[in-house]
Amino acid sequence: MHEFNLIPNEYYQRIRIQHWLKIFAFSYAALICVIYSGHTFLSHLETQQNEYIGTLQQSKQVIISQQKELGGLRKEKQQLKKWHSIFNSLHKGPTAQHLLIALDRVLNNNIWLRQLSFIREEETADANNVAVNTGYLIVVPQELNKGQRQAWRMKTHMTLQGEALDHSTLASLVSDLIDQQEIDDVRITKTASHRYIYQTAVTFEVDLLLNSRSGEHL
Amino acid sequence: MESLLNFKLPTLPKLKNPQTGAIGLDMGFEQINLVQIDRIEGTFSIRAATSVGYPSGRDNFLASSKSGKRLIRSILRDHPFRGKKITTTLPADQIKLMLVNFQGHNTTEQLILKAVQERINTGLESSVIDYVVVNPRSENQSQQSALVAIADKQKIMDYLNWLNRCGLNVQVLEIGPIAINRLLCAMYGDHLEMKVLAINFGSKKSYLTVVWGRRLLLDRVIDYGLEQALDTVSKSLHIGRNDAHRLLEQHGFTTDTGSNRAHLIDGTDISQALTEILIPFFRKLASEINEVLLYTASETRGGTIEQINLFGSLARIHHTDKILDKLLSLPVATVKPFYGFSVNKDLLPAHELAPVSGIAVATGLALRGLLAHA
Repeated sequence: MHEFNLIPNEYYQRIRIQHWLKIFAFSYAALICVIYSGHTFLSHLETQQNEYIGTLQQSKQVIISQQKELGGLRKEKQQLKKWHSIFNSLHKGPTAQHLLIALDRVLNNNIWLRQLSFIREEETADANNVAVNTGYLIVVPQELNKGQRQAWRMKTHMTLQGEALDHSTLASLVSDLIDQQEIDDVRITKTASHRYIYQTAVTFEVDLLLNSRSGEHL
Repeated sequence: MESLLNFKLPTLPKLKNPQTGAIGLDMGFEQINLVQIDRIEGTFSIRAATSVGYPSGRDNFLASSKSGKRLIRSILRDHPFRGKKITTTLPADQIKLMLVNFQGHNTTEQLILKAVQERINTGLESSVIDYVVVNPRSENQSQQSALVAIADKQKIMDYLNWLNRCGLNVQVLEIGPIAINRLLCAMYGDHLEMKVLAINFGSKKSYLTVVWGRRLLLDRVIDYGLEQALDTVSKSLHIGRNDAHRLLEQHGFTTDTGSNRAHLIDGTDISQALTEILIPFFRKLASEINEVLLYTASETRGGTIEQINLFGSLARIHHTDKILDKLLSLPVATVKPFYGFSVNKDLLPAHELAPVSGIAVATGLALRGLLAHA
């Protein structure tokens, strides 16, 4: 059966337009809401990020200052290490006990000692002009000495005075001394013949150049 | 163990999925009537129905959307209506219904328009016209008839806008006879060949609608209504119209001749008096009905109407159907609201269903889209 409907088409068209307008208005309002919410959310995020950046920058400043402090401490540590090595070096070298043991190894019945002297003390010297063969030298860093190249020298000196049965015995003594680890070099500074009632002997004075590193191995 | 294996869970009843139609809204002369119907597995169930009087008359009510909005909002809030889609009719005074005959070789629209133009000389440009062919062409018939509704476009737009402002979504704008036809189709159900004359009494005018095998065969408007009856009674008894109305509603009519009763003034005597006063009034209606019966017989090549159904203001008066039944040679029955429908009595108190007329039209409107064939 045909159904009556007296509603003009323009009414439906108007309703359709109103419907679309409502959808558009709702969508627009929803879009505005989304944009506003997004803006608010992003602003909030930005504020949070800025706060975080501020915190990070503060941390960075702290880290930079700590790095500077660390750098200073490292430099100080290096200096202290150098000083430590210097002082360690200063305390190295053969001990008197080891020297005496070495002497004991080379002495025999044909040699008798009259005097034995051992000197060990620090002294500063110009590193460029110092005589290397007189002892153990430690070069001090320039910055510690305000530009002057200085060296600390260990004055380690041992002198033996005694008598030998003959020159051959003295020569073997010198040879045996040189063979000792603690001794670098031996120099005979004085020799003379001395006649006793029944026998002749050779008096001598020998300077020993000691090995400053030998203490590390002992 | 076997019994456990054979155990079956009790089957749950299938959930009924009601199909809810649009709200049928009828702007009666005195009251606004709303009905909504659910269709559940082929049967109709009244979801909500109400009939509310206008606060200060229909014209004033339609003049302001504010009061309409308030009233409709309260109705929708207080009753279990679903949605705001409505099927409605124009108020009766804003629509012109006419039965036109046409024949020719042009399209039906052109022929109907030509027939309408012959009857109405001017004003069609600003009108909305719709029609329904009431007796489809058969091989032997060269002439057809159509029920044509004509309404002023501006008035329709004003009415639609008013309803829109009230928050309602108008789906369809129909006419009363179509709604009555649909209601009868739903009421008679499987009786496909029903031949019914529905009389819908209004205040000033009444509508005679012939439904022939689910088709609308005729719709005729007559100047006949409750007001004329009230005028007749008030003139005869020298009482006011309100008193006449009260008497009619209270006592109604009687089919008893009264010859064997004692001469005491009681309610039956008043009914007797009212009946005697209004018998000429009903004879006038009977002659109109006879004309319709003649027309129907000629249109249907000797077919006869089998049943007359009464709706509306006069039908509410007790024994109106009996009076007409005596005057006519056909069975006449007042149709109760929601006859054949399932009604939740808790949702629909009886006093809300008093105006049978408006409720009948509103129910027919609410049935739109729920009947398989209409």
